[in-house]
Amino acid sequence: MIAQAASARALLEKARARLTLPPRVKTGTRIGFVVALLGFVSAPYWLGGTYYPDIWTDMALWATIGLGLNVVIGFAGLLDLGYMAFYAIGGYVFANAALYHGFTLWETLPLGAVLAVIASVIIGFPTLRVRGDYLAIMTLGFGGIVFYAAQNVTNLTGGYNGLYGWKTQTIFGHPFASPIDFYPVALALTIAAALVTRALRGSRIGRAWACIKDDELAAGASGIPIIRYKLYAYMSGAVWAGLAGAIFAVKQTIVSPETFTFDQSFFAVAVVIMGGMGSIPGVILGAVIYVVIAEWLSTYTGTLSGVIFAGALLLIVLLRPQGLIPYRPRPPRWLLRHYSEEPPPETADVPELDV
Amino acid sequence: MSPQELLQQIVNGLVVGSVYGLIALGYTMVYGIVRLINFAQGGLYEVGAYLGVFIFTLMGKFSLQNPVLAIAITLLASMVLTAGLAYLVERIAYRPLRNAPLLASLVSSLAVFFLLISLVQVITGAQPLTYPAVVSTTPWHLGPVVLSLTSVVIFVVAVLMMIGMQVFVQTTKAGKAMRAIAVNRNAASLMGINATRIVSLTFVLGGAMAAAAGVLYGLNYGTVTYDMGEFGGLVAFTAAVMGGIGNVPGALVGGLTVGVISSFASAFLPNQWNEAIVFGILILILALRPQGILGERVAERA
Repeated sequence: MIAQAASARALLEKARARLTLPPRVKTGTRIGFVVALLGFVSAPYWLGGTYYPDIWTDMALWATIGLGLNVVIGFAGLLDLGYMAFYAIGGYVFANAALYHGFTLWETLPLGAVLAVIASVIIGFPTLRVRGDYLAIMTLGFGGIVFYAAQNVTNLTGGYNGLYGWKTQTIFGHPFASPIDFYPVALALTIAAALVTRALRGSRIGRAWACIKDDELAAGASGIPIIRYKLYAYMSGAVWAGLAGAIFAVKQTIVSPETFTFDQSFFAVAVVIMGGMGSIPGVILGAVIYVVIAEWLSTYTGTLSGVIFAGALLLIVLLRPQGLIPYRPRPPRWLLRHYSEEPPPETADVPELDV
Repeated sequence: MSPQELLQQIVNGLVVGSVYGLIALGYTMVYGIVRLINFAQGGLYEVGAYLGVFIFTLMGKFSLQNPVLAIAITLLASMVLTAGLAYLVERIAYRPLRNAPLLASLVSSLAVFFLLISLVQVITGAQPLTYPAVVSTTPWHLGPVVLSLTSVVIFVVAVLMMIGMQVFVQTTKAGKAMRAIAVNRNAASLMGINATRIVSLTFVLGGAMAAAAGVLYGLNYGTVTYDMGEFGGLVAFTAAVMGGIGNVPGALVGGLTVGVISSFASAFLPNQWNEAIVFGILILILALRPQGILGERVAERA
């Protein structure tokens, strides 16, 4: 009984710790952080050349992918191993529309997003009814089918060779010529993904996802239509992959199957898990780490970078399972202020339970 | 398709399917006992196949000529080494996460899978390696069907191993302990079963089976590639699900079925569709009959 009282007290302490305002960060630290962040984000401009802008664009695209997948894995707790299928759809929709119908990137972006969402509904219907780990395998299967379809439905995808040769795309009349032209677009997409998914997380839908993630049975019992909300998670995750896929296609000037392999879907999952499931800055950090290891480091180490990345992921799962920047849900600020004005009751108020 | 070709495809499918069945055995046993899809299984299969090449080459240096002995030693050595690796995987990547959410162990087994595959890629330089033709691949014409000694050896060895595993699970004390843990781990622990050790044993056996499958695959196709673990692992998982995951004879049934189906698919359709067909089967089974052909209780992990 005493042990129970102690553990109850520990729980209360924990809950109370969450109800206090986060410690004030010194203004100096804050300014330093913002300057460092701005410096990092603007790095391609002052580093120059074509190599760094290219790497930074990939970081932004991977961050967008990670943020989209974060909705599925981090918010709703569904392991999706075929996420890059939506990325492929975005890419191929753009390539077809641009090549055969003369559409521009900006006209096809919404179309790619809509088709990715439709695909997510088609994939979601059979898969979302099955249990956690079977879901992972089914999404893996769908990712595989999209990959092999990309290789074999040659009249839509160009097969192994892929699709290429559309006319140069422009932004406000300025052609996409060098990697630095893509960077602001990719960055804007990342920021949009961060803001929208953040808003989603705090919304009614986001809270329902959190419930489903914590305890599906209880969520269902409290009246949350589980399948429908899981489908929402799929849909709002797929949008970002669809958009990023189209921009990636323009950047690479080719869409071909090898960018949508199972490995790529696994890396997307790794980005989310490494950074911290549900955490938006975490996922962005995960994407940066991935691109640094997979693209920058691999120019020095070759295939060894695969070992490094998988090893790093394993270490993080084992030693810091909540990710590098964990997501810690907190009550809204006004509520915290209310609590911090009134000093919390002393711990001694917890009634002692006698044996 | 003439009945003769039909028969030939069935025979080819059975040979390949028996290899898949061996890998599936590892999936099904681990899943049955700890409810984890052990993605590392595909990696262990690949590692086993590569170890096989190295051991064969090593024996060539000692000019060991007897093919029966050569195969037996290679199989055994590769199985023992891979089993040791499987033990390490369980110890490092699974055991610490035993009480963590399911997602953590799934991701950790995926990470191990990629780690193994990338290690093979780094060590061998991503070059496909050739298996020595230890057993004669001269075709035999048995009536309408073309066979070779290799394929007969593969089929027989694989089926014998699977039967052996079934006997082990059904008759030995350790096998009984495995079945007890699969039903209820806590209750089994209370009855004095050392669950930690039995779980280790299950991973080790699964790794040994994967290695055997890898060596047999190498003997069958003559080459091993660094990406064989990905597709092989997935097909085998399909086989395990098809037979009813958690069900030991189901692994054999599922393996043979998937082998025959994919053999027909490659006969009727252009070869590249083979993989897509396997994925399609997997999704259909999971959606329509997740308990598989032979069936096994599918309960959500508490």
